[in-house]
Amino acid sequence: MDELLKQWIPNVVAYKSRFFTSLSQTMQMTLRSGAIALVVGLALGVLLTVTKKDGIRPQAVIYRIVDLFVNLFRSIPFIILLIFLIPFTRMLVGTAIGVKGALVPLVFGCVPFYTRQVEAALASVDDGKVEAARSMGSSTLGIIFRVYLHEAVPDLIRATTITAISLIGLTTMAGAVGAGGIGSFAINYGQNQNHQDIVNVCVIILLLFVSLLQFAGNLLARRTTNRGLLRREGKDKA
Amino acid sequence: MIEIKHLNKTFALKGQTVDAVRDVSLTIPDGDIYGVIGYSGAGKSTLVRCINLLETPDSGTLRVNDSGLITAEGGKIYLGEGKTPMRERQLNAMRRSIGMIFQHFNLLDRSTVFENVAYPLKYSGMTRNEICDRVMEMLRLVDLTDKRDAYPSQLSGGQKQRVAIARALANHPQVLLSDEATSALDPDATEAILALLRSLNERLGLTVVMITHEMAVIKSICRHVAVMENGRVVEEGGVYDVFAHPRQDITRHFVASASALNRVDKLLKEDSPLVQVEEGALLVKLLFSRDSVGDSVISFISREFDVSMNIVLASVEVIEGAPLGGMIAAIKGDGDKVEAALKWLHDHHVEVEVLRRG
Repeated sequence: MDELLKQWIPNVVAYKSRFFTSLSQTMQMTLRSGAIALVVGLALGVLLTVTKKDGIRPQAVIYRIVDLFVNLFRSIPFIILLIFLIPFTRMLVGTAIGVKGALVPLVFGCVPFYTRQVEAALASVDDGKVEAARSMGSSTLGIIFRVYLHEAVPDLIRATTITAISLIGLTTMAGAVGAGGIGSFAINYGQNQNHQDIVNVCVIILLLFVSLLQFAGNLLARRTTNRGLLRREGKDKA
Repeated sequence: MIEIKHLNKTFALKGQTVDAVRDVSLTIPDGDIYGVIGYSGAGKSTLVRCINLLETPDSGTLRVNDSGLITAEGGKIYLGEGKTPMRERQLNAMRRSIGMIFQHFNLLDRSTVFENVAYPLKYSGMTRNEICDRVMEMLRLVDLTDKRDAYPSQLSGGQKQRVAIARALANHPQVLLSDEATSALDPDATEAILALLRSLNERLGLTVVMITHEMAVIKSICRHVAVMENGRVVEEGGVYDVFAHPRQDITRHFVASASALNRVDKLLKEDSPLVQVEEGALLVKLLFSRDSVGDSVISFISREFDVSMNIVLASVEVIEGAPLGGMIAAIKGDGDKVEAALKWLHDHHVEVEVLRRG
């Protein structure tokens, strides 16, 4: 096995430990910034839904501020955002480089995208359900959790999958601030040293990541859609 | 009792203001089935949403059962003598005492029937066991206990609406608002849902407010009806009286849609051969209400006054359990015999209207 690997991907084997470090850096960046973006994006998406003009708690000022923030950061290319945020990042987490320094721009790059996705998912919840909940005397929080978020679960899972995939894409650029990761490994050790096998392996690894995520996302989304209907289909087959 | 006085509601739509509800005053007695009929855009939906304060009226007062007097003023709602607007918490408490069902059922698709009915009970201070008992009680009420673990997508339209009714009644409200609840159902399911509403009204003393655009719905279960047009209530009264004596054009139109008898207007307008009368004959409309149906008046006057009657159209409606019969006939006879026959009919509580003279 070792022989085979050495023969096929000699440079990856040679830089084995760096390769695994890069993998772990990409994982860390994705998971840590993803976790933060998940919470913040969900919160902002809910906020937009609730405070919009015909939402359950219209608040024009809050809506406009969040909306502006989202639009602003969505329109900045990520590589520019990375360097633009350097002073802010340093202030916030003490350093602007490494995995830690990359987390802040990753969150800022990911949240606006995710917020819009969440907003769209929640908008697909039928207004009638919200009205029914209001007619039953459900509180604002009750409607958010028990109607909006509850009914939109499959759509939210799809949105989260798409966002996670785009987040992996963003992390490959984080090498620009010395955060390492698969992206910078491919450039520094693959492209710059003319080791095509390293580039190829990086592409395959990223492809695997993305496919796995997509598969898991689809599975979960299907599992949570209309559970009754799925169960019935299962019975029909049996 | 629901008491609405001088209620107004205006919407701003694309820079234009729409008067959805204009100076509406209504009193709906306890245990009534009260219909509100009108074309779409007449304001009936807005009116009913003002009852459970899903819409905030611009002005007017409202009283629902023992809610106390609720006053709307300047886009705010005040309770009793209160000087501060009603809080969200108070509004929600009030809404819990009024059930509501909808045209499209509005069930949670990712929840089972049981979970849907339990929705309004959770976080209301009831224990898990109490909630379970109450949900099963409600499902028995609408005869759906066997579907407790089904999802809405596995149910028919009629079953979905029954789940919605169970959910709306879970908090034991005294009032049920129904917003076009049968409009998305097929005729059989409509019939079944109306029968269920009537039986709930009888068994629980539930006051039902029905919004509809179908006179057939009003005819089949309502006791009182209000006709709305352009935000106003233009006619109101007992369903039997409104059917027997519609006063407004729009009401006549609605009545005609649910009664064969009123098709004569259409026939007259089209100048159909059916309504042509010979010279000397009269085309008359006879209306037999509660007191006069059943007497064999036609054969009696034919014999007694020696007139011939040719029946063009006849029908009997049963409204609120009482028959309302009508007949369009061409009547012919010598000299003043026809007049005498008509006078006799009039004296025997048959309403006579001459539609045409030949």
